[in-house]
Amino acid sequence: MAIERIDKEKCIGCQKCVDACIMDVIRFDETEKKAVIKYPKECYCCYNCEVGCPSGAIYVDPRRLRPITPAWS
Amino acid sequence: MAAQCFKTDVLVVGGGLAGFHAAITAREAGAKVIMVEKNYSGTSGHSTFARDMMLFHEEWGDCLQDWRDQFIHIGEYINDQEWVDILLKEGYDRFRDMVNWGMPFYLREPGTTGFPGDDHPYGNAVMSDKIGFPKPEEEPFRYRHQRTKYRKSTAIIKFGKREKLMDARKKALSIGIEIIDHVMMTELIKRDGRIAGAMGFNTRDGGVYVFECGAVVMACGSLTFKPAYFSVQCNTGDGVAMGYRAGAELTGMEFGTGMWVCKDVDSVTIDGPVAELGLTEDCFTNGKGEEFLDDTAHLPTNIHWPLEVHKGKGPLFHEPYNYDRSNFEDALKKYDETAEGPWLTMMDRAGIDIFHDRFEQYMSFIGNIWPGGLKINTKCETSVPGLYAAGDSAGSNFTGPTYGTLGSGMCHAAVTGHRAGKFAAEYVGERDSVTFTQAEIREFEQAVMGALERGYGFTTEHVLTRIQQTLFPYEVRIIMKEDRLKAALTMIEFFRDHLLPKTYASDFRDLRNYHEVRNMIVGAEVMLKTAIMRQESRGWFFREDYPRRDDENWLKWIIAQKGQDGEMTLSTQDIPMEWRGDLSLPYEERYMLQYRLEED
Ligand SMILES: Cc1cc2nc3c(=O)[nH]c(=O)nc-3n(C[C@H](O)[C@H](O)[C@H](O)COP(=O)(O)OP(=O)(O)OC[C@H]3O[C@@H](n4cnc5c(N)ncnc54)[C@H](O)[C@@H]3O)c2cc1C
Ligand code: SF4
Ligand code: SF4
Repeated sequence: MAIERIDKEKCIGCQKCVDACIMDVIRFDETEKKAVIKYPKECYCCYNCEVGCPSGAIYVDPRRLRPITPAWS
Repeated sequence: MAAQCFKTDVLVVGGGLAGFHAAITAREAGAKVIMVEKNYSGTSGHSTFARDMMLFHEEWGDCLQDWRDQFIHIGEYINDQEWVDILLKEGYDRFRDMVNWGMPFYLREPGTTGFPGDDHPYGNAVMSDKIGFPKPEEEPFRYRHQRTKYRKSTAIIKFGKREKLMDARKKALSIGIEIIDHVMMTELIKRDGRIAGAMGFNTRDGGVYVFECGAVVMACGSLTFKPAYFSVQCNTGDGVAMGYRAGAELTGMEFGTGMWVCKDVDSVTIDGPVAELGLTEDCFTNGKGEEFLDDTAHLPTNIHWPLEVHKGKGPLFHEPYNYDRSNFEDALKKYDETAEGPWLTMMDRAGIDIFHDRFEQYMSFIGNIWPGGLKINTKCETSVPGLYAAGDSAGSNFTGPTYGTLGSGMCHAAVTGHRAGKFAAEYVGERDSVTFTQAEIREFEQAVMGALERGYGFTTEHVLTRIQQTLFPYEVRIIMKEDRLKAALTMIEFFRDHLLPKTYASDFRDLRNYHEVRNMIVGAEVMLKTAIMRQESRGWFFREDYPRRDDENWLKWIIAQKGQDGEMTLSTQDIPMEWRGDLSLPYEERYMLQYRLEED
């Protein structure tokens, strides 16, 4: 659920997603030079990271980890 | 870590479309400008997700009076008509600014009318294939799509790409604007009754940032409560709350926004299929399987549909017409590239085929996205000297209680951004900036970092969940009633007085959450108190206990401000007589016709 994975094999370490995330979910691992998912619970599935990734390394599931009270059910 | 101090003429808070227009305009007028952004200026903000912008231009045959009438009908006479005129008249110049910065737009295909209209098979998403930079006076691709009698005048242009703000960023850097990313602003600083600076912190390394400046342009977007829906959650009313704490007046805060989402994938907006692809044969049914759209004449669907649920006839479903998906592949691809979220991909991943599967939908209460904010005059000055506001943070009252005019959010962001930048630069030209003492700076550090040092108590996650549980059930802010609004207010006041002082942040990222819930509580309190005060219904603002518009008593704006004793004061301002429309018309004609589809 939410941002599920960043494929290490595909990630070229450009850091675009680290900047593009509007919820500051993704950080950069300086030793491995790869993007890592640091705060998945803060992901609200906006797809900014996945759409902008030049190497198709990111997969976002549209269902969040954190449930939100619905208007009715 | 010691605070870093910066000195500038104009500090722009927020790097969305409004922020960029403000920063570039102020810089070009000669001011030193710093822009601070909680995320990354260029890929953040609602502006990143917006597809289009309203654009009026007389030379292209547009009639000012028709466009103005559309705003007023949808706004139900609560619009500030001076602002409506400014948006219409200045939108073209802001569009040209953006083209000159290097932002592409969809171009009009040779030989087309520019307005394919309702007969186009694929709706809004796919009417032009060409993206580029329109020459001066060249009409770009424009689109109209509202079909009711009063909603067919205005037209929108379409941004050529999703990362459009990156072009603005390049322009801003090229003219010497300093951009500071990943710094969340938390408080304004006043001296002698005027703005002297602002403070914030870096969400990555926890560094405290203090700015000494002559003026602040608040352009940090709208108030949302991190709702179901997508992409809106970066804005939590920080600008509104900072301004309120500094004594600025707020207006339009009683109005709110709801959005339709798919129940099982509630990060997907479902207006996409119908509006963007033109799936007009799809329909909507209630729990009994009945279509219930026939008698919507007197209320906007945003109210009428939740009322269906309130009557016990829920839940509500989207019923597909079984269109052939292959006809839409091109349109969808383009939509994914240029627009909001890739919602078809999202639905596919959740295992829902929007062309063939029936799915449940509900209305998610978002917050106050467009209508309200820091009250501004036509120079974008707030009531605090040196504080300017633009875009969704600004309360210009241009829209009234309903957001019905496509593309007006981006037009408003561009036009108010430009004006705020221009007048802020003029203002700082006249004064010296303040220098803070070391002792003052230590106080600021404490104000920013306090919750981090606490170390125990309630989690920010808990406070957020409690706010959402209080505001999101439909009976609180969508179908409103005094007793329920008061009950919600009691809870919000409890969070303010009891939970928040005992809440801690677990790391720098969580400190952002702390300041966000703190700001949301301010926003919620203003929103509920002003909603209790407005004893009528109007547009999307629906009170079960006062279900009709009350022209005699409520052609007014509500203004909220922090009083001397710290308590909120509420007052009203009359809508000028000449803006009230024809009061002799029967109610039905004055208000209801706008919701009726035009006879074919
Ligand atoms: C999904 C979606 C689609 C939309 N589509 C359209 C459309 O097609 N056409 C249209 O006209 N309008 C549309 N709107 C509305 C439109 O996007 C907004 O009206 C417009 O973007 C407002 O611009 P802004 O610059 O005021 O705010 P934003 O673009 O939201 O920018 C505010 C910025 O401030 C930053 N910020 C917030 N708090 C702080 C803080 N404390 N410190 C520092 N920075 C901070 C945020 O991170 C953000 O980057 C849409 C809105 C949404 C959510
Ligand atoms: S955008 Fe893609 S390639 Fe670049 S750092 Fe992120 S995951 Fe890696
Ligand atoms: S989907 Fe949006 S919120 Fe989630 S990690 Fe990607 S950019 Fe961040």
